Amino acid sequence: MASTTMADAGIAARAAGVWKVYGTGEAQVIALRDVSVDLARGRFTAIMGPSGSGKSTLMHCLAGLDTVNRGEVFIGDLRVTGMSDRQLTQMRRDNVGFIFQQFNLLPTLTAEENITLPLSIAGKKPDKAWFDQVIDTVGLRDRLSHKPTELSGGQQQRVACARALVSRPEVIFADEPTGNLDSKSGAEVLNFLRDSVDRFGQTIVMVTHDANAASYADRVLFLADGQVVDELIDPTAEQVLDELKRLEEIVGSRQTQAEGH
Amino acid sequence: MLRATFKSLLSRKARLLLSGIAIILGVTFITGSLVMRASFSTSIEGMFTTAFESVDVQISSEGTNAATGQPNPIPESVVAQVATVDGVESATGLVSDAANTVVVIDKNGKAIPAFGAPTIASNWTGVEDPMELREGAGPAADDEIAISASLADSTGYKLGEQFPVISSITSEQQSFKITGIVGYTGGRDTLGGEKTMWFTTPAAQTLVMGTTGAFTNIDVKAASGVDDNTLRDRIGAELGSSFKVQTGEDLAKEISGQFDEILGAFNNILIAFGAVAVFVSIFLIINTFSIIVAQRTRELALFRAMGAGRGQVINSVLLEAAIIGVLAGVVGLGLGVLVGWGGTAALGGLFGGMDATLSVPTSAIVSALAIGIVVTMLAAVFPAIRASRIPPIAALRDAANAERSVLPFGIIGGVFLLLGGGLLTWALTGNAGDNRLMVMGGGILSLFIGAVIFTPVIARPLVSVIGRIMSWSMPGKLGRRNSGRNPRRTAITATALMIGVTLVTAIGVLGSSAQASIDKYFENSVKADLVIGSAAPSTTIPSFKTEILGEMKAVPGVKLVVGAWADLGATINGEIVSVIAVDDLAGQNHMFATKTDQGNTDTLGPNDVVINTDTAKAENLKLGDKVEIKLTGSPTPKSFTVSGITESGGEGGGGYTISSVNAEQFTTKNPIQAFVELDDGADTQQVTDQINTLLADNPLITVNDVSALSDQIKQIFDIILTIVQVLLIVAMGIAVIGVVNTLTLSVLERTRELGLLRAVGMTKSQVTGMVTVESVVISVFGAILGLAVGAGLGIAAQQALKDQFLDTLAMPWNTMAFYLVAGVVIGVLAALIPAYRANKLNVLRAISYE
Repeated sequence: MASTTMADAGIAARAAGVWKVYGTGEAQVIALRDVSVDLARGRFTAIMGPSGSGKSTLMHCLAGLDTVNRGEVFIGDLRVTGMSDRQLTQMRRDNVGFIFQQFNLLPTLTAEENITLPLSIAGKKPDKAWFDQVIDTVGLRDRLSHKPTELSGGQQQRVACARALVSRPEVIFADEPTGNLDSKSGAEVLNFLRDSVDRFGQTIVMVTHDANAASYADRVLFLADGQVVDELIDPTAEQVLDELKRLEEIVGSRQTQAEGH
Repeated sequence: MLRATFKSLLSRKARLLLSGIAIILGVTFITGSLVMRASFSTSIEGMFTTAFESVDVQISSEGTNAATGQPNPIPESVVAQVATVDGVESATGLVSDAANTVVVIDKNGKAIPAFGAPTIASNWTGVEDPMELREGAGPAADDEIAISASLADSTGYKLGEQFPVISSITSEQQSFKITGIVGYTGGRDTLGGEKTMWFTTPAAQTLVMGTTGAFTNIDVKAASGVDDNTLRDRIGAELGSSFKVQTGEDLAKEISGQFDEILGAFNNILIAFGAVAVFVSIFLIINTFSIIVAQRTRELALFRAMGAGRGQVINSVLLEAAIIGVLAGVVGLGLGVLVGWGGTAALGGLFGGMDATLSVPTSAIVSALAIGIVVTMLAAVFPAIRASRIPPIAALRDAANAERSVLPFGIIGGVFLLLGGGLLTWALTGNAGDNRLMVMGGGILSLFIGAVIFTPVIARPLVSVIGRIMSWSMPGKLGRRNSGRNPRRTAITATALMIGVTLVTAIGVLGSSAQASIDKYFENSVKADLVIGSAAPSTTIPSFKTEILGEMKAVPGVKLVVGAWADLGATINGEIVSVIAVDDLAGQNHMFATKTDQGNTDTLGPNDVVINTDTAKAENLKLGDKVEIKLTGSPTPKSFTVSGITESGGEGGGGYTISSVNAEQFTTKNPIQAFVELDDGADTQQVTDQINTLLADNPLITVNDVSALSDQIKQIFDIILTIVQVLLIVAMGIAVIGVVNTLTLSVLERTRELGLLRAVGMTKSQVTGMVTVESVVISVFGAILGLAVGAGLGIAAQQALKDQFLDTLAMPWNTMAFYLVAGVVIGVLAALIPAYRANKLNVLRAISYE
C-alpha cells in the first residue's frame, strides 16, 4: 500500500491488511488478523459477529480511537495510521462522529450545548439551517434547553445522534447505539440513522449484536476470530440471524477442536 | 471487611498520600516547635554548665535597682565577711554589667546597639579557666582594658589601640588602651556569643555602678574537699536573706531558664500557627473522605447487600482514617524532629556555635500521634456516617450523584452569623459595658465560624459569577460548570484556602490601620519636628547635659525646645510610678496638643504635679490633692500638690509630671529627651546637623526627624506582619493540596466524560484549560471569601480597639490585591497534576469506564 491517498472517491473509510494484537507471549490475543474492508460513502454498514470476534476493535481502529499493529486505516483521504495524538484529535473532531451505547452526554450541558459540543470545541459556529434540519429530524426542538438528566434514554440517544450529525463528518461510528434502549426507542433511533443516510447521504458504520438493528443497514459485515468471514447486502433480520447462528456453530466447533489439541 | 479496607486503601495510594500530606504538615509544625524548644533548652543548659564549671559558689544581691537595671551593689565588706566562712578558700569581688550600661563606640563613632547577644563590662580578676589570654596582658592601670576576641573581631579594634566606651551612668565618653585579647579554651572567641571587656576593678565599678567600693557579685572558691552545696548553705546562713547564694550549677539552670522562657513565648506562637494548619487540614480530610465515599458508593452498597451492617461500614471508613492518621503522625513526627533539630542548630549559630543537642520530648510524640489520629478520625466521622446510609440497592443502580441540599448549612451558618452580628452590634453600640472586648471577640469568632459553615450556600451563585469571566471558550465554560456541580465539595475546598486568606487579611487590616493611626497621631498631635533621645533601645536610658538644651535654643531656625527628664526609680507607697519632669509645661502641651481639663497646666511650681484624667480617675485624685512621691535620689518622700489635670490621649500617658527643678533627685540628673519645634520654613537638615554637632560627645543620643520616627515604629509592624504572613503560608500550602486533591478525585470521577470529550475532538491543551478554569474558579472563590471575611473581621476588631489605639481604619489594598492574584496563581498551579492525570487517560478505556 504505497499510495497514501484514496484512489476511489466512493470510499469513506478503509482498513487495509490491519492486524491488532493485545498482550504478549502466552497471554497474546489477536483481535484483528489481516482485515481489509472498504466502507462505501453514503451507505449504512453494520458490523456483526459473536463476542470476541473483533467487531468493536475494528470500529475503534477505523475511528482513530485505537492504533493498529500492522496495516493501514484511512478516513476519506486521510491516512489515520501514523497520525500524532494532536492530528488524531483533530481528525476525530472534524471527520468523525460518535454514538455510544452509554449515550455519553455531558451532564452539565443542555441538549443544545451537547449537540454543538464538537463544533464549540473546534471554535466553530453551527450552520443554522443544517442545525435546524437535524433538530427537526430527531424531533428535539422542544427539548433543546433541557439537561440530560431531564431526558429519557431514547431522547438522550437522539441528542447523541444529532451531535454526531451536526458537524457533517465523513463517517459516523455507532457502537451498539440501541443496546441500552427499549425496542420502541431503539426503533426510533435506527429509523433516524436510516433517514440520515437516505436523505443526507451520511456514511454510518454501526457495530451491533442485534439482528433486527442490523437489518436497517445496507450491508452487514460478519467478523469471527478477527477476520471478515462473510457479508450480506440489504439483509432481512431473519437472514442475519441465520448467518449469526451459522457463524457461532463454526466458531464453536473450532474452539472444540482447539481444546481437543 | 478489614481486608477489604486495606485492599481499597492500597489500591489508591495517591489519595492516601494527598490526604496524608495535610496532616503531616500540621504535625510537623507542632512537633518541630516542641522539639526545637526541648533541644534548645538542653543545648543552652549544656552551654552554661560549661561556662559556670569553674564557679563553685557565687553571691549576688537579691533584687535589682529599678532605676539602673543593675543588681543592688554588694559592699566591699561582704567580700571579707564571706572569706571568713569555714570552707572558703578565696572570695573575689566581681563587677558585671547586666544591663548594657557600658556601650562600645565603634570605629565610626557610633554606639553599638544592644541587639542580640550582650556586651558585658566586667572587672579583671586574672585568667581563669576557661579563659585564656591570646595576646598581651590584663589591664593594670585604670585607663587600660582587655577585650574578648569576639569583641575585637566585631569592632576591628586591635591590641594597643584606644578603645572608646560610654557609660549611661556617667554619660561621658572615655577611652581605654587595649592591653590584652582574651579567648577561651578550645579556640573559641566567645562562650555563648557574648562580647566581654575587662577593666581594672575601680574603673569597672565607676562605669557600671557609678561608685567605688562595691561589687555586683562575689565569686567564691571552695577549699578542697568542701561540697559546693554545703558551702552555699553555709554562706547563705552567714549572709542572710538580702543575698542570693548559688552554686555554678544553680546559675547555669537559672540563666538557661531565662532563655527558655523567651523561647517558650516564641514557641507558643509557632504552635498557634501549627494549630491553624491542623484546622485547615480538617477541611481537606473531610473533603477527601467525602469524595472517596462517593466513589466507593457501589462497593460499599455491595458490602451492605452482602450483609454488612451499618456499623461495619462506618468502621471501615474510620479504620482507613486511623491508618492514614497513624502514618501521617509518624512521618510528621520524623519531619518535625528534623525541623526542630535544624532550628536549634540555626539558633545555636547565634550563640557562638553552641553545640545543638537533640532532645525529643514525650509531649512531641504524644501530640504528633494524637493530632494525627484524632484529627483524621474526627474529620472522617461525617463521611463515614454518610457512607453507612448508602442503601444496598445503590449497588445495582447507576451511581447517581444526587445533589444534596445545602439548606442545613444555610440554617446553621446563618444562626452563627446572626449571633455574631448581634454580639458585634451589642459591643459596638456600647451596651456591653466592661465585657465589651469579650463580647466583641465572641462576636468575631461566631462570625468566622458562621462564614465557614455558610460557604456552600453562596458557592453556586458566586462560583457562577467568577466562572463567567473565564468562560470565553468551550473548555472554560465546561470548567466553570464543573466547579458549580457540587457546591458542598467546592465550598469545603475553597474554605481551606479561605481560612488562611481570612487570617492574613484580618491581620493585614489591623496592621495597616495601626500604621495609619501612627501616621495620624504624628501628623495631628505632634507639633515637635525633632525628637532628641536614645539611639537604640536599651535597659538604661542615655542622657545628655542640661546645658545643651540652652545651646539648642540658640540654633537658628529653632522655635521652641522642651527638655524632658525621667525618674525611673520613683515610687508612691513603694510602687514604681512614671515620673517625668519638664522645663516648659506649656511648651510640651503645645507640642503634643494636650488639652487642659482642670487647673493650671501651663506652669509648674517646685511642689506641683500635673496628671491626666486617666490617672486622676485610676488613683482617685482631685485638684489640690497631695501626692507623696519618693524620688530615687531622696531618702524620704516629698509632697506634691495636684495643680492641673490634662485630658488623656496625649504623650506621656498616665504619669506624674513635675518641674525640672526636681531632676536633681532623679536617676540621672540630665535630660533624656528634648523636643524641638522649628520655625516655619526652617531647613530641617541644617538644624539637625547643628544639633548633632552640639551632641558630638553623646554618641548614644540621636536627633530624630519625627517623620523618620513614625517610619521606625511602622517598620516594627511591617516586620510582625511579614512574619505572620510567612507562617500562614503553611496553611495556604495545605489549602493548595486541598484543591489538588479535590480536582484529582473529580477528574477520576468524570473519567467517562473526559473520554467522551477526547473522543469528540477535545485536544489535550483544551482539557488542561478546562481543568485549570475549574481550579482557578475554586481558588479565586476561596480567596474572595477570605478577603471579604478577613476584611470584615479586621474592621470589626479595629472598631473594637478604636478607643485603645487604632483610631484610624485603613485597608491594605495592595496586599489584598496580591492575595487575589495569588488565588489565581494557586489555582493554575493546583491544576497541573489533575490536568496531567486527565490527559493521561486512555480515551477508549475512559469511554467504557464505569
